[in-house]
Amino acid sequence: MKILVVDDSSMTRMVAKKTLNSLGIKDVLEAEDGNVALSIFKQEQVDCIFTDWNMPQMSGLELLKAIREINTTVPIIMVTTEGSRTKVVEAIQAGVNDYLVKPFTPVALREKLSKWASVPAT
Amino acid sequence: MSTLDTATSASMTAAIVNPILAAAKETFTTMFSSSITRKELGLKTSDTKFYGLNAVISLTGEAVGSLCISVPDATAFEAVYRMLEIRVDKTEGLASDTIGEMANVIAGTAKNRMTQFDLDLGIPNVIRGTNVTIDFPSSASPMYVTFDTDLGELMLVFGFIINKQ
Repeated sequence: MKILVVDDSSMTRMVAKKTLNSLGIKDVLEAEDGNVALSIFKQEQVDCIFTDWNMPQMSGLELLKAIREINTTVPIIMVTTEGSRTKVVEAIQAGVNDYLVKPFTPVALREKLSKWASVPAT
Repeated sequence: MSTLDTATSASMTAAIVNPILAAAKETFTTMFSSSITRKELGLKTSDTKFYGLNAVISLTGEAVGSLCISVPDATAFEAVYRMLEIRVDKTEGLASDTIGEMANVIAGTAKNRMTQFDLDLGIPNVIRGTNVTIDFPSSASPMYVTFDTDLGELMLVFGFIINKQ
């Protein structure tokens, strides 16, 4: 199981990685924006992606759309402050699988990561 | 035709100030498991003193302006510890990143509470040092709010104009 965590905040990536490690998932790749994430996705067999929305260079929504053009099945979960109904609908229409709005409790993050990081991509 | 309003009006308080205060409370209680108590609230002047670590983020759209979170180094170090259980003693790296993310989450949460406006959130810009210049809209009247938290002291400075059709 290989997970890609995408966030321009290194602290948030570290929190996600630490939580994934505690769930027994050691193979965690990190990217600080959508461009880097897309490059990694094209080179690696990634099983699940957790991505922020607001990032420099390429946003999480742009990343989501770019990945859905080449892969329709890999689970993509938005972990973002963008919690308005309009934004959530926009992400769902673009093919997001799940959504977690910041700020989140450690328990909420753990539940979301646990739910999706244990689902093998088809 | 646009309508402009200034930061001191009652409508601005309801539309902008209350969501920002509520967002700060939600962020600290949820993200950092910290209490947060409001202290002073007033208009920002040239005498307003910033702490040593600051993160500024813009909101654009039907309301336009900036929000700055200003903290002493010790508050940032404690925030890093709360999130990662790592002790740091330098403002570079994780401490700056954590304050940037704190600004992002507070601004984003405030934005989600300002449901009457269509807004876009910028990317936080971290400034180290107390000499901070923030570009607020010229007709805004920026305000400051200070807080006590379990992490330490904290100040928010923000100025917006409502620019809704």
